[in-house]
Amino acid sequence: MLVCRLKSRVHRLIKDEQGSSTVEFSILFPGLIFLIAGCVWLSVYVITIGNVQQLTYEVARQALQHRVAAPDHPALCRRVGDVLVPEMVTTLTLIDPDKITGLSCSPAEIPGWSRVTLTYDASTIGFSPLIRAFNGGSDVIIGRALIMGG
Amino acid sequence: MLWRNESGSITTATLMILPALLLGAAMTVDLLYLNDHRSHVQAQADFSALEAVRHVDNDERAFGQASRSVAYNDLFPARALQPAQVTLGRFEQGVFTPASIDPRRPNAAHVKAVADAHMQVASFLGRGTDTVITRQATAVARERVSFSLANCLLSLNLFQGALKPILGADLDAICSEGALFLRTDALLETLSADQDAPLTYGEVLDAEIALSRILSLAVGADVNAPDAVLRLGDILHLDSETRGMAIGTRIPGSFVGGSDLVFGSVELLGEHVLDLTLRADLGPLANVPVSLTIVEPRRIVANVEPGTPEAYAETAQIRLAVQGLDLLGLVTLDLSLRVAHAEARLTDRASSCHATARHEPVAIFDPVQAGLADLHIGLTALGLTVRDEIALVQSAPREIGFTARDIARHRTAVVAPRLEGTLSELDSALLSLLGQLPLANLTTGLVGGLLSPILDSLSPVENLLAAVVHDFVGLAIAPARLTPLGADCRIALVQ
Repeated sequence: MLVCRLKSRVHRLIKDEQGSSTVEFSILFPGLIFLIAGCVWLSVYVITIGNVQQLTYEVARQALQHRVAAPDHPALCRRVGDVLVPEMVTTLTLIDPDKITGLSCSPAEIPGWSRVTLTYDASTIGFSPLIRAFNGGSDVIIGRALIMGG
Repeated sequence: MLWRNESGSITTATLMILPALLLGAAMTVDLLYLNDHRSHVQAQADFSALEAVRHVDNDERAFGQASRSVAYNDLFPARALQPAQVTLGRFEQGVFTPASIDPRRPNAAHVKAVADAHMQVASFLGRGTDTVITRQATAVARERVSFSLANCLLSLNLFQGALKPILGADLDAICSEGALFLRTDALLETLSADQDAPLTYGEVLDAEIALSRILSLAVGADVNAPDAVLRLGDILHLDSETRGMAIGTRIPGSFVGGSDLVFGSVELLGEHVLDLTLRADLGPLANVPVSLTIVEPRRIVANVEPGTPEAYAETAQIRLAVQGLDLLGLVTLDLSLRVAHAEARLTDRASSCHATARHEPVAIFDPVQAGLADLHIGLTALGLTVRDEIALVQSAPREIGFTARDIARHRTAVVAPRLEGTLSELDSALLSLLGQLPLANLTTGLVGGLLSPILDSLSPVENLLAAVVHDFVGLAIAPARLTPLGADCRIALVQ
């Protein structure tokens, strides 16, 4: 008698379609969240790329503006490394100063020109394995600018 | 019924919404990308304007530099610059005026950078290629040069009598190698401390400042000078922009010579406060009083823009005079001499904004010339006076250029008046003038016929006259020294 009643209840539960939407939603929800989070992180990544490049440009712009009577390349690079990058890095919201892993200020092809390269570690950005695929397999974002002067 | 069955409605809805969501996400990324592209084009415009403005004195170079800057910073490709996209002109009071309208030397470069936006989603939807990003930038080059034109040793000789009691031993070092050069900003800031809260450098220049304060700063030691005040702005000239700067603002590359300040102050106050009469040995006559009149004090130039009307310096215009000098009881001599003065004008044919690496001149002065000196001479004998005016030194305009290294080392160019043949011409003129006086009867028997044509050698009066006049002229003719004290080029984005 008891078994019969139990079977009947299970049968009713299986046949019952109440709450099916909730079940469907709970199955799809993680996927949607994953998709939305992916979009957000991708946006953050793109913005970070823009900020790193912006920082590099800003440094170059300031370096050009502060050049008095065209100083030599070492003087320019000292200024870039010692003053401009530490000052400018705090002005961009998505840039973490600790994640700037490299700053190179090297002579460019033509004497008197300088090439500024800034490398930023983006490995802590979410979905990095996926995003890395968009960046040639690298976790590093590179900003470049050429300062001609002279 | 199938359409009444609501099973899988969420999945269906999700599947229907998903493309829209993905499209939205893709458009977001696209817009972020577009934003980056815009920033890049702005950076290209900024860089190329900053590069072009270094060459405002040369259209071709400016355009070449701007074009290369756009081409090399190619993270996002931009359209190649066309000549019409790079405009040189004047930027003043917040307004850019193209060189085609304002004929003065350009001080700014305006660049318009253009790029085609590449939006993946928009292009997928068929609207990706017609979006053009245009960004503009204006950069200004603020070029300033300070220089000194002085005949220090001549001034020292002329003003020794007036200055020795004030400066004492400090006077001897004033024209030496180790003479002081003062930073203009520091000088004016120090002087402002004594004033009633001036706000700008111009106000300090226009204020009345104690002579002792200026002399103390100029020689770097306490000086006890007569009570007198002067306006420094009467001798020290800054351009209007610098005059309007707030006190404390740095004026890079702007210096003033300490000796210029000392002598300039004396020239300003000479007529009223200081007795400028000097005593000189003229020939065999010792300690002859010579009156000195300042016609125009020197013009010291600090921080002027090359090529502008105020970019010139000149030494003081001084007149020396001797009145009633008795020569052997026969002739009375009056002399009046304009001291050879020099002037130098800074042209806009060179620039300190780009030339350092190329070892080209960064400052070209043209003309640099020693001014004409003229001698008025009057001889009186037996109530008869004869006069003449003799031009002594011809003007000798020339061009002088200085490289950045010259300026860093304070190299000096000497501007010497042309003296070839001057003294012999002077002697001829003196003889001729002396010949007009009725001296023969008086002097015959006394000195053996002063102007007798049979005597080959000069008579004592002629000898004396020549010696006195030569020494008198020697007081007034000396080379001037042109020294660029500093050149500065500041470049900034303004729009």
